[in-house]
Amino acid sequence: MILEVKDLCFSYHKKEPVFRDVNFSLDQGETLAILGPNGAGKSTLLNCLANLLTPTGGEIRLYGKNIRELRLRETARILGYVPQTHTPAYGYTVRDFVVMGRAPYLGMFQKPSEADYALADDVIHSLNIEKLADCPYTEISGGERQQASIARAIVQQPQVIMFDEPTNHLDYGNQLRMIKMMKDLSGQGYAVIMTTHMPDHAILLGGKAAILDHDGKLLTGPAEEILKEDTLKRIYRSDLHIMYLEQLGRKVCVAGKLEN
Amino acid sequence: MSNEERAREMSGRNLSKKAYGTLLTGLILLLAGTALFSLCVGRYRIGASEVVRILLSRFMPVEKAWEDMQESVVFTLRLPRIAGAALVGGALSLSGAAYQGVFKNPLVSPDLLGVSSGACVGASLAILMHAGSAGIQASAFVWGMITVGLTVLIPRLLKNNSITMLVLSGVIVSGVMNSLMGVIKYLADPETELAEITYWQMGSLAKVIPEDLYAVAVPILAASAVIIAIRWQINILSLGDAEARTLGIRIGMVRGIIILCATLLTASAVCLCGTIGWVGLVIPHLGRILAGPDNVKSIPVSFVLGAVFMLAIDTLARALTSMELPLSILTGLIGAPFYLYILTKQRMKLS
Repeated sequence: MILEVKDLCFSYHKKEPVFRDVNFSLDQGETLAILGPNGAGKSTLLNCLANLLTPTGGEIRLYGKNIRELRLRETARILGYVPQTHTPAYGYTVRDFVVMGRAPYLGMFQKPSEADYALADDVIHSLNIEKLADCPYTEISGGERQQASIARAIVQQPQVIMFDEPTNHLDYGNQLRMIKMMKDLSGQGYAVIMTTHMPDHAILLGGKAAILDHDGKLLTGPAEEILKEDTLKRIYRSDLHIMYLEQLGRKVCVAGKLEN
Repeated sequence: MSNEERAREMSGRNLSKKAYGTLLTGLILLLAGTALFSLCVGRYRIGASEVVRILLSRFMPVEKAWEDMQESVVFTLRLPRIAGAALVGGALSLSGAAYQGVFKNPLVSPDLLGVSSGACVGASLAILMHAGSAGIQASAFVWGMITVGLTVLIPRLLKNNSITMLVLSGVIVSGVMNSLMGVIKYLADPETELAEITYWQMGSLAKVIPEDLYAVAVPILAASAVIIAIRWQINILSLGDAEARTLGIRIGMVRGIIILCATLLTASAVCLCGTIGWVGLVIPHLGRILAGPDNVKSIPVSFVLGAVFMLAIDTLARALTSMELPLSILTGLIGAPFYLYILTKQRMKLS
């Protein structure tokens, strides 16, 4: 098992826990979509998993080893992280940005070698973004930036890739392409975790799903079992419907008529 | 606009390895040329061929066809001063480039963060206590570190991490340090210490003697070597803490090393010739315009560029008029308008 999460808890400053008793595991090629209403703590959970926050209880194991006992470099060779898009201060070219994924393999006083750049170029090629390679990262669109971040995560050669709300700020087409991309990555053997606001995205991605409740409990299981109409109605306090569409051959999550 | 067009428009932002090599070599040659020119000019003019022969005579037998006076001007007056100018220029711009990287903020510099004024207070206190050159350096460094610590602390206390807040915080802290400087001057003995402190603070390399030079050359070269060696990590730190950490970087340690070295550079420069503004702000910008934002290329370029700039300024300062102009006056007169030019240029690129 690549990633095991046992009884994970987190609370800010001894207040009410944001989440508690979170348990799940993820293996090669599996996907996990984390859903939850605004403010439930999806990002907090993902930040704990990405080793950005220290959980107040429980443990995260990577290949059976507690993440706290691993050095940051070792963790970074297993966990790749695709942050929400933002604009950094400097316009590094996409190529220079992507090659930063080699950091966990390079010493403090090293810089990327020809081989590191060759790997970055390969990944840029495989994602079909060669045209962006020499563009400044600050001057490309949000969707393109996300692709550059994914390329960087792949260059990290991790086993797990985590996405923090990857479909935010993307147009509808790009959202769907993003889901497809995550599905492809899991097909290549990566374990994929994402947080999202869209239950339908979780259905499209398939695999495992998790719903973080207001009271900090995480419900996990296969997407089909977890994404139930009554659960979603309760969580989002809205009229939501899960139905099977013959024409598409899949279940969809749609909203009912808006109430007056 | 298509991606190709965009890429073409931005070409030059990421220099090829070859272009970078050419640029760096060109700048080093420019530095050598400026140094040679600087050895020739001044109130006592010496011909270029004579200067070259005088220099060579230290390494190989050359037939002596110059006066002793010329040799002594070259070796005891001009050469230490030239080395001092190049070191200070390189140190200030490297320090600025490092701060700009780790604080993710292209608007900071040793002077805007207050480090220069802090180091100045430290050095002046040591001068008042007649601490000797090692004491002056240590005190400048400690006060420089205190200042940068305070400047970074204020945005944290206010929980505002914007670019503007850090700049404002620098304004506040340097304001306090400048007032402390006033207190020190007020307390200094007007007959002896006051003049010394004031003259030194305005920034001059006129009185650089080889002993002072060696004392600052060692920390400057050591800290520069560390920053140049660690420069790729500055790229990663400039993405922000979360991303750097997920890339396996021990942020606290790496950033600590870089801030320590950058502060040591500023403090050493301040010890040699007081506070010289603008260099640490403007030169890293120019370095990035020439070499692109990748610190692997722009940091060495900024270092040499800073050395050339400072040397040119110092040569102007002593050759322009019969009386010496303080360096900070010239760097301000040249640096500030130049910064305005850079800002206009960058805004045009954004629109």
